[in-house]
Amino acid sequence: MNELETALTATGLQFAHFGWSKAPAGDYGVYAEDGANDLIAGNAHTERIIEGTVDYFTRDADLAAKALIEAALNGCGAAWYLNSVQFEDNTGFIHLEWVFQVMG
Amino acid sequence: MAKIKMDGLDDYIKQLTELGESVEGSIKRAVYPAAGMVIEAIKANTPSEEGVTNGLRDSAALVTFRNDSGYIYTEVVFEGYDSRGHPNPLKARVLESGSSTRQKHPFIRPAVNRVKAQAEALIAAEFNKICEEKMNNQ
Repeated sequence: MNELETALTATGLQFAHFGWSKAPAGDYGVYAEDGANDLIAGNAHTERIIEGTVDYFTRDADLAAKALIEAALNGCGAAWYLNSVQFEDNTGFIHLEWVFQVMG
Repeated sequence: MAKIKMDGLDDYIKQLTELGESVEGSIKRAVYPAAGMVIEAIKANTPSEEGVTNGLRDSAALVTFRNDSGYIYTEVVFEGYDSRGHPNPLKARVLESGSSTRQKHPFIRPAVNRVKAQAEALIAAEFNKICEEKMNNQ
């Protein structure tokens, strides 16, 4: 997870782990672990895999942050997919959500 | 692996032909119990708080199986509205993915991850059993 955190921070975008106590002004993101997908062999967890999500809330319809975040996910060796893109009509945010897996 | 008894090549060809003709129904029969396992895992993981997510658990349902280019699909959906008139699919979506004003509480993906391997093994076992039945009963 440290590599993921470093890679997301290096994008220059605003990110917090698990959540913000108060959402910052402007666009922002959250990343959080929510499970595991360990490789089990010989009654042991031989490879530890952490699964989680990266969420980014932006009002930029060009989604400039999308390429930055996906490059960061690639750069830190995460396996990932874009799970959803949703528009919040009450806030105007576009919500992008990626599911990732990293070595734990 | 299914154990198949046969007498003569003509019978074997006939058995294989009939098995091929009924393969879609056989796959659906094999997938059904695994789909049940997945939906029960999702239901068990669905938050149930009075006044917030009540009714969401019971709204989960399987949709009719469909054949899309040879792949057999079913889906778990959340149907209907809660007692306040809020659509259950929207509530499930907001819980699973969160929003800028609500923290996410993923409950579908973790449940599916937990039972995926078991469900796949169950499909394989059921399909072998069905093939064995069909081949030995002809």
